[in-house]
Amino acid sequence: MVQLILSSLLFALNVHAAEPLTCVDGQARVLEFGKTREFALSYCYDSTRTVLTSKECAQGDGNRKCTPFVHHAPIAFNELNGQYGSPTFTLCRKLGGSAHVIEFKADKTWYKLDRCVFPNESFVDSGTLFKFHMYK
Amino acid sequence: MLLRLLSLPLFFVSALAFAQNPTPRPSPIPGGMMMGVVGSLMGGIPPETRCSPESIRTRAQTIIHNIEYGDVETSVNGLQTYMENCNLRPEKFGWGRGTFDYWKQQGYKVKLATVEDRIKRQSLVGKVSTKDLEDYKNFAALSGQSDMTISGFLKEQGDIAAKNQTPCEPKDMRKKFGEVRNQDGIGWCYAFAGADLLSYKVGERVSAADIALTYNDGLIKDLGMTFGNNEVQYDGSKDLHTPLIKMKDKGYCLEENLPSEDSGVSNLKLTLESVSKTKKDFSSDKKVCGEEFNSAQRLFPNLNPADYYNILEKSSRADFSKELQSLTCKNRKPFPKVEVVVGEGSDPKVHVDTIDQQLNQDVPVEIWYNADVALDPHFDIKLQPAGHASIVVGRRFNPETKSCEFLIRNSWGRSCGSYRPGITCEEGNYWIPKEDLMKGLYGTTYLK
Repeated sequence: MVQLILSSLLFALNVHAAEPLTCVDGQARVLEFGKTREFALSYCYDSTRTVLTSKECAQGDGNRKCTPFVHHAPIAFNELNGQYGSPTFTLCRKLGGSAHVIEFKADKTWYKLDRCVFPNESFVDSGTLFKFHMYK
Repeated sequence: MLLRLLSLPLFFVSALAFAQNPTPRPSPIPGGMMMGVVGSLMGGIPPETRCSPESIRTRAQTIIHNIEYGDVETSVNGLQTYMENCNLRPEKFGWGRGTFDYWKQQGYKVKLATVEDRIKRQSLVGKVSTKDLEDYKNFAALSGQSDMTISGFLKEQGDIAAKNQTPCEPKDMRKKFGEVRNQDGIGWCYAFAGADLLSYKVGERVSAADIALTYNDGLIKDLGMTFGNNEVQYDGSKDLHTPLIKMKDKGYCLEENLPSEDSGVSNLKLTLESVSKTKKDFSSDKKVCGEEFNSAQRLFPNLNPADYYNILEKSSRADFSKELQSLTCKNRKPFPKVEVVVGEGSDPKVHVDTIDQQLNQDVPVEIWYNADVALDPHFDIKLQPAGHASIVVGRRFNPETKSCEFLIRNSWGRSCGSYRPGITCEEGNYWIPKEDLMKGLYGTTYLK
């Protein structure tokens, strides 16, 4: 797979706390029907590979096309509690997104994470989404 | 370690000195907590209703409601100022001269009881937070308790804390579990925790979906009908005993044969619903096409079309999912020769001791707890009754906080963004101080 590094050091604001994100036109894969399906995807990730965003969300809430970081009215923690699945997935759905597990490639290694995808295709991993909306 | 052993009694000595001269109380209940309970009531009052008697009564009702949860001083002061600005007198509402002070006093007493309870729990694990001690002194003074009573309580709890300081020998078993699982949006945390306990014992990745389907045996005949259409209505279990006992006779199924983390455009809940709907539709019009088979194969990858259509034809709606499960897991492996032990009682201290004892023997322990202890900086169990299951896989002493911490293997994937400040998360495993976990710990299960 040829990775095209578009911008290796995008300094993200707010939610990433100045953590540099690497943005690539890369490869992602999901498990479906017990089999793996691989596809091309543009995304950005951090050094620990635990933050994953679409390119328009790489700078936190600085881009209007990044729906995950549109500010919402406060949500109480007890609306998201753990008995009903991951609270990060619950928050994603509450905000109008759809969450699912995904693997992405970074430096030839696959990393499993998840992403909350919004109707305009902008996305962010559900943990980063949670941090942005619940700890702001 | 020596520093830690010395620090707590010394802290209590200084706390006792402090108790003699209580300083004015800092800010009361954090705003987020209030919003969680009565956010809608406390919302902005429309301009046309400003200064209306109704708006005053609404605010008073909110205050009276909140007394149950603690300090209401800020709200009462706000109401008093509001009424003064509106030139409205308390008598107009039938309130006497001391009504506002009475509300405040009641709130102080509730808050004091809550803080006392927290300190007692923390003393049982040998570490009490500075903030709770300060809150205690302030609210005890505001509630009219004597200096002697305050000093006596602090000394008593200090003695208990000193007695309960236990060694915090490091332990870290996380590498034996592989990557943290992701339970997606389905409420089957107990199955993921159970699969982890079993996997640790047998050295293979056990299917969490199989544990959940086995536990729900007989119920999954029509998911939409049995559980409703909302994901939150899917059944969960409080402890692992029943689910694992059901697995004992049946044996376990490997994750590769019945995957629990199917991804892509779907998720486990949608897949289950789709499978269930196929049988329902087939029962009514006998028609089925390739899409339905694909959907079933998403959850039951070992199916072949012939077997699938055979089950579709011959099974009842009640048995459909169960038979698909049996087929895809036909190479079941025997349950290990272990006893499923559930911690007795509801005392968090007993459960924490159980965890410590088992960790000392390299045995991971499933905990049934309120996960908001790791999320909400203003956690209060009275406001947030909820349950979640994870497993404890390690322990360490944190020299910065002087706390003994447990390492929790969660089932929310590798991401760490959901944990509150003060919680250290590494690849989906997180460290939490014992005393914090105790605030929301309901029970334990382990394999012996």
